[in-house]
Amino acid sequence: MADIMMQPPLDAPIPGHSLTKELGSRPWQQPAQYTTVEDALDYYIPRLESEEVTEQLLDVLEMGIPVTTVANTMQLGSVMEGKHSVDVGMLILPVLVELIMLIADSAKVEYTSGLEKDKKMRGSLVDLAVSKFNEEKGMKQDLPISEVDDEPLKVTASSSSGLMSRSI
Amino acid sequence: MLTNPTAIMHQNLSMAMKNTPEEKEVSKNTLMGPPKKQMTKAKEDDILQPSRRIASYIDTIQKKREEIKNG
Repeated sequence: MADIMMQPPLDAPIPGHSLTKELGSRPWQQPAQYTTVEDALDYYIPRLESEEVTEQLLDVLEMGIPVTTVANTMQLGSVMEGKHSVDVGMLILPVLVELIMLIADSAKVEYTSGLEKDKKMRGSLVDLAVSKFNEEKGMKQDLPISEVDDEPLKVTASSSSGLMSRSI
Repeated sequence: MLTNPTAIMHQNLSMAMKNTPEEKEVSKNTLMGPPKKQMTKAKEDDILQPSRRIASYIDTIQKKREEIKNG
């Protein structure tokens, strides 16, 4: 995984590549076809329910590809086709995940949701901080008592006077 | 770099669903009538939010999934 991350992104577009086509020539540069969450879901739900798509979806899930990846790919593709905006795509992502899981559950197919508590999956800083704290807490508990607190705490007398006052 | 925000979106929405305040019974001015559930202005506005609508859809789908799992 680390090796993949270290490779230079040679297949990335060169700077200014997006300016080589006329503005508005791409589908995502046009006004979105479905502007509300409901409209976008009305577009997705019949597609997901169709037999052809369901079979392909279940095949993909059986291969071990997480539901979150499938849902994100679907919405990203629709954004590129100009079906809906990125904002609507973000909003409907959780619904797509639940819908895909519902289809998989009804077909009794085992799948990876991609929502498991994992450091790599969680981008939330709060989650990371909590897991780090728990790890440190666990490490401290593992240490023998003598190593944790050898020296008693020394109470130092702090001067209650201000900075400008005369030292006693 | 974050390339798939799905898990975070799902988590945030789940947390928002858990933290939703419940309806409170607000007694009306009628002395003899039973207390009725009254929607506040904030609650009405809340329903208009896309995130709240999404939360209601997710809740429905999750209930369906539970039904399927439990047979």
